Amino acid sequence: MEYFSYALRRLAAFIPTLLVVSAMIFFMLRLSGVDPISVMLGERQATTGVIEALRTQFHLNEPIAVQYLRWLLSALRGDFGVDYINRQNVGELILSRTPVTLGLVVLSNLMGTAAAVLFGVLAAIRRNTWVDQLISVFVLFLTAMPSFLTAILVLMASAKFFPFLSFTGAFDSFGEYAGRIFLPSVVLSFNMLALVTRIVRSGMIEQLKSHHITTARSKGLPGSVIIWKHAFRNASIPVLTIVSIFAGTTISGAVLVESVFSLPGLGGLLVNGIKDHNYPVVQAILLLLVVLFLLIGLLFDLIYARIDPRIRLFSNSARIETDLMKADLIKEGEYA
Amino acid sequence: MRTVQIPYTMFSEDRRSSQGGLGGASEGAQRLNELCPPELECLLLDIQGLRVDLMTARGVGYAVRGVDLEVKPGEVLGVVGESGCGKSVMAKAIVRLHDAGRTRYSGRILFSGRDVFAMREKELEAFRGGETGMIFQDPQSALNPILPVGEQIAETLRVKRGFSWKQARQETCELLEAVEIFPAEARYAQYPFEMSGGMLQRVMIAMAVSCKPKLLIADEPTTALDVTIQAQILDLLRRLNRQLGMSILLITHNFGVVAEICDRVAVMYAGRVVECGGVVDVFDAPAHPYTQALLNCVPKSGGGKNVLRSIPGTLPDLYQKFDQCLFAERCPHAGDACGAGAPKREGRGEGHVVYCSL
Amino acid sequence: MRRGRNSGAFFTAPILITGVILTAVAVLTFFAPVFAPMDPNRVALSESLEPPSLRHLLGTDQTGRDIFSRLLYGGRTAVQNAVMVVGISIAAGIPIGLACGYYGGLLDALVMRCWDILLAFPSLLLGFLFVSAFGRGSVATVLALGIIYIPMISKLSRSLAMTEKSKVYVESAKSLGYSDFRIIFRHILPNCLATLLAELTLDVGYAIIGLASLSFLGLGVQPPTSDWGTMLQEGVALLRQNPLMSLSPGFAIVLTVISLNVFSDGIQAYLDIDQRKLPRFEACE
Repeated sequence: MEYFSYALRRLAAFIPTLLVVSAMIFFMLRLSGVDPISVMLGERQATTGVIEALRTQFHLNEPIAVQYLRWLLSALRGDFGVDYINRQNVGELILSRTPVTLGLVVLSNLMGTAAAVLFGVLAAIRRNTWVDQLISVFVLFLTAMPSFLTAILVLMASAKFFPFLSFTGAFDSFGEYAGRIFLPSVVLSFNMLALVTRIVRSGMIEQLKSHHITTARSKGLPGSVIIWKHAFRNASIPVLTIVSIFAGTTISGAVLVESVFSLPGLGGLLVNGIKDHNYPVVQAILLLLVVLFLLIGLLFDLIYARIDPRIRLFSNSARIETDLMKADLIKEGEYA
Repeated sequence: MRTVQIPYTMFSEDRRSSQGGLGGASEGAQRLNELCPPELECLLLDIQGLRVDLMTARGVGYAVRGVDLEVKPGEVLGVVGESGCGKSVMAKAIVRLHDAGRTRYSGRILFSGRDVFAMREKELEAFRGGETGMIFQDPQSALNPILPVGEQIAETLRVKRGFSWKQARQETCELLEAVEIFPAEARYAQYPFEMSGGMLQRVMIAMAVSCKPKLLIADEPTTALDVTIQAQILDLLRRLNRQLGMSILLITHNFGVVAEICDRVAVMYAGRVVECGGVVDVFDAPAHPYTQALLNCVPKSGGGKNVLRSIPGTLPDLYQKFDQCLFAERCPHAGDACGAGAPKREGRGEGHVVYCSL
Repeated sequence: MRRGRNSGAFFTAPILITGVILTAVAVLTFFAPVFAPMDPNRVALSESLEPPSLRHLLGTDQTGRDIFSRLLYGGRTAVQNAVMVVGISIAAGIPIGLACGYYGGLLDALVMRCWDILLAFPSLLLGFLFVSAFGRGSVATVLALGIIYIPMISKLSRSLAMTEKSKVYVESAKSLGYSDFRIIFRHILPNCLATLLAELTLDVGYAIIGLASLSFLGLGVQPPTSDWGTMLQEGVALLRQNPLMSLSPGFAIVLTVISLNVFSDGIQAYLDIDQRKLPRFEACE
């Protein structure tokens, strides 16, 4: 019950954020001073009558606040309007591109976290040995590699060693889809792997030093139980926080990786939309990605309230603590 | 900390005749003699020449510098000393809890005749928790903060005694009732942050005795608790000692605690035992100048002067190796003999030994 | 990488090596006009896509421009922009963060709400939004990344200020009647400086990567200005013909960012006494 009310509180905190974010997206795009009509017409010439008709059709003659509300309300119903250039339904356009991006984000997060947990725990229990050093160097390289560079290298390597396999371009079947997103997901997971490994390692080292681990050892529990049930479970809370923050970075990283692998995802749609000032597309994608990010954050909040009962009971003090911790961690999560 | 802290409940001048803790202690000694006649050699724990060196940021710390100590079955042995005298380090060394790479042990620890330092990892696991139980100073941090307390006890039962979750839960509730935590069913699911320090120490005790160990090592179990709770916890320990016939090694800096429940007491100073003997003998006729000084510091409730006394001087440097008596520079009786070699071991009556060159 | 081991000296091998590399990168790129053998935009179609030679150390691109010269000039753009990004975030983030941590209360709550909103955007997406609002180009991207970094710097300095605030020296400064301004900037800030410095060093690295990402997508620095990100993007299409076109800026980015990471860790390890390496006994067990 208290868990449920915690979930509701978190969800309620989310609404004002979403309102402000959507307003930011909408109004900042209008700041650019590019006239939508000229985007729609492109190189073509048109009479005033046609222009007026377009203005009415896209509600451009209404005050901008009204336009915002109209957009927001229809977006809530799932209707994102039609784009300026090809007059396609934006919702359908996005839906057709979602599988790639969502697949990349989910798969890379899962793979990156799983590998990071293994590496981090291993480095912590073999602290200051060659295993730890090797993992450190590996992690350092992955940290400094921008995902698009890794993508280029992987693509070069695969072209050299597996010239018969194709990893890029469109796909027809689910098998092909899985084959297409697997390699980019691995690439995308590298940055996350690097960061999360560090967090897991330092969290585990801290936990292994704590008093309750001494108690667990004095009880004569086997090493694996101590490491996983007592140390890792306790160390996993900051890990979840950082994973949820870093999920945002994989979302924007997906855009980059898609473009290197020429995958038909949201990234290409977004970048082209920005270049062409095709606002209905840009604002819809930005809004959806922000919502995705917030939902991931909410999901993780709920998971760690499950793990650590203190968070849901004293949500205020725990929030302050997590905020402090986030401030330290946040920076590390914020790069492409 | 230079002085030994004693709560107000402790000694009155005529402590022998009082009905307080000491009465219990001598009774215990009597029972002990029946259980384990002194002429028969039967030791539960036999520590011989134990040295523990710890690697720290400042260099090698010589925490324990050659300790001989024995615990007989069913007895309560108190180990007293100032903070930093190595008593907790010694307690942890008994089950080899120190970080392996940072610690160097020498000497021998025999538990029921088996050498603890020769045990392999698996044996050690079975030994910890199975034959020994441990409780610590700060129960709040000694328990895993994000697991329900009952689960932490049940876990031990499952791992060490192969119980199913259901059996373990039932047994845990019985244990909780045995340490006077009611209602056990409801407390089972609570988290450490929902309980008080005294409660948590009871939980720790229940956890430590869950596998019926022969020896309970209690490392300052009452230091973090307030005085009334302290007395209850000591009563509980005493009861478990009687009911289960379980020996207790009680580490404390508090003579009052020793007086209340111990049969024998060992006084430690700077990593060595300076005096060891029956509680009554040591308190009545302290033979080592350090013990005398410590007992002098204990405030007396009947006395007219309410002056807190302390021992002048400071503890010797833990990072240096010493051979000679370490208390000499603070000792009012120190003479030439004190600086020359290790203090002599000397018997003062039955089971009462003192390490002093004088 | 936090290796968590040092013997207490500041000039350890990693710090010295990365220090030398970083100085070299800084000097070579800042004085690019001096070190570059030719004009980075000199087009010579007859020399297009040449392999490395003495004349062109790293070969040429499809229009015959010298890759080595472009690398140096591109580094100048990349490093300068990254430093500007961090500069913006310092100028706004540190004072705001310190004030929030020191005063707390309503100011703190309000500012933190604002940061939560900015942080609701997955990092680079806010950059996209800024670019669409202010147009493509390096000014917009530098501004965008600078603003994206403000919340993080300010959260960090806030938490540092909150920790410092409760220490005795702040109380004694207060008891002497010093002004808040003086306490914050003359007493608290210097105590946080070391941690902030380690963090800001890292940030320069992240900013280089972030800016390169935007340039790579064609949203940041616009051709013909050379920039590591843009060079990478131009090189991708010609990977088979001349891999050095994208590999050399890629290598430059990785080398610089790794050095910044190690350097920052060196600072942190130096500051963190608990993490110092302890000698070990021979294993006893």
